[in-house]
Amino acid sequence: MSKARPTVFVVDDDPAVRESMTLLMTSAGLATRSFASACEFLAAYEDGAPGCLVLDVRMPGMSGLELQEELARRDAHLPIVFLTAYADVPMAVSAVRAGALDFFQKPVNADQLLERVRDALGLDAESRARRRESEAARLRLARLTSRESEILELVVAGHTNKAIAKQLGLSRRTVETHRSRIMHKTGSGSLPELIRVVGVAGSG
Amino acid sequence: VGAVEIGYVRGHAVEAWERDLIEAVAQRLGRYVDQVENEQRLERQEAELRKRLLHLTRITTVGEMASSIAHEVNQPLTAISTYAQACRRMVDSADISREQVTHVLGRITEEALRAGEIIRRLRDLVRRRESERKRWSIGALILQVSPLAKVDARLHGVVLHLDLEPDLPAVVVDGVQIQQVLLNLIRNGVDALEGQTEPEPEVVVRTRRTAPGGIRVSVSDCGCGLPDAAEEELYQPFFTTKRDGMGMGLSISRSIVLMHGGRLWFERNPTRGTTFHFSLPTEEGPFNE
Repeated sequence: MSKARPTVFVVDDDPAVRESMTLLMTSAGLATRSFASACEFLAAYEDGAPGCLVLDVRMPGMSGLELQEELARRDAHLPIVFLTAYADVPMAVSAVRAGALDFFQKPVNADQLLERVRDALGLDAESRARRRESEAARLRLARLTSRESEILELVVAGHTNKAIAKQLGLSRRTVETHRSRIMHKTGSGSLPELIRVVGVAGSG
Repeated sequence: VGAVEIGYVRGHAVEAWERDLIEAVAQRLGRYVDQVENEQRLERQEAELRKRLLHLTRITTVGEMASSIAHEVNQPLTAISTYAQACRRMVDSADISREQVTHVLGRITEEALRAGEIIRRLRDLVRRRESERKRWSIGALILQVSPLAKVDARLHGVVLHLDLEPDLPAVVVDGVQIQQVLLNLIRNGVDALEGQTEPEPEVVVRTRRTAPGGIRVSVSDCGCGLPDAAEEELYQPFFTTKRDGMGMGLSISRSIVLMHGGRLWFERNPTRGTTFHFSLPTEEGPFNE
């Protein structure tokens, strides 16, 4: 994960709009980088860099909506605030359906835009933390042997050691040994903690 | 009409047969005068109608570009409003130097002028006007109208390239009408590229001298090409292959070019797409193409 400072990425083909947006973000103390096209942004964006996108819908070459699709395909999770010159309802609906945070009509109300941009940065930080946690949980679960994984599944499903031993044809003692190794490898101190690790690993 | 004054050439009274003859001539003359007046009236009406039609189709072409133009005016407005709001925030927090304020005010002024310029060009195109022929450089006419055309092209993901031969002889034309033809052909090119998957679809406007005494303007696209059946009907009024076209563009464009003593035709490109050409006589000399 990159430790870079969260950045507002402004993508608009109009130089004056870019410059004024950069000034606005700077006035709110936000780090900003601007790009003249979706391609320029994609070429410069390092996967995983934190921040959010302020994106013009209609641009020559790759449009804002196409960039949104491309980022989804790359599994890049930058929240997007769209700017558009029109009240284009179908476009707005499809963008929001595809996960855009909000849609502003140009010219924009700066205070509202900044509020949404801050929301976007907050969401991005949260989802990054969640993904980090989930990734860590997955790494821990990956350390389990296949027998341990099998037992874990039954434990999480609510079976007792006795029932598990019977089902797998093992001694209860062996199951207990496996189980304590599972607790150790996943860093869990209790059953609820173990269940949480499994839950977190399955999300994000 | 109908009164004929008879001069006496001989010293005697007009005889009956002479009077009959004169009357017959007078009647015929009267009818002839009527007819000429009628024709003149029809011509005047026709000229007036043509003028209105030209104006109407020009407005239609501009109308087709309306959303592009709105977008283009909206961009400077967005910049102006964003600069102003950012500047106000920074002034409020005393987080801005005098130089920065001056810079931002300068940018705001530039953007306001840019928006004004777009509107001025637009107004020139849609104004009702008398036909007026002047000496023009074809390149200057193209450069004047290209900002609007470029915006329209750009927003459809198309790049407009100009390939203008320098130092072409002047043409004597109605500038706005020729620009109307240009816009129309460029719009057609842009529309032909709709849904094109190539990375950089482009429309090229090219000017060349055709020896002697003429120039040729060509507008090429690398689009879907014309359907075979379109060929015969292409210049007919109300013929269109577009979803929301009125079908007047080519028909009007061709009559504008004809009125200027030129010709408008098209060619299928060897690879793909279509090129429309029109020729105009230059003021230099005889026009033989």
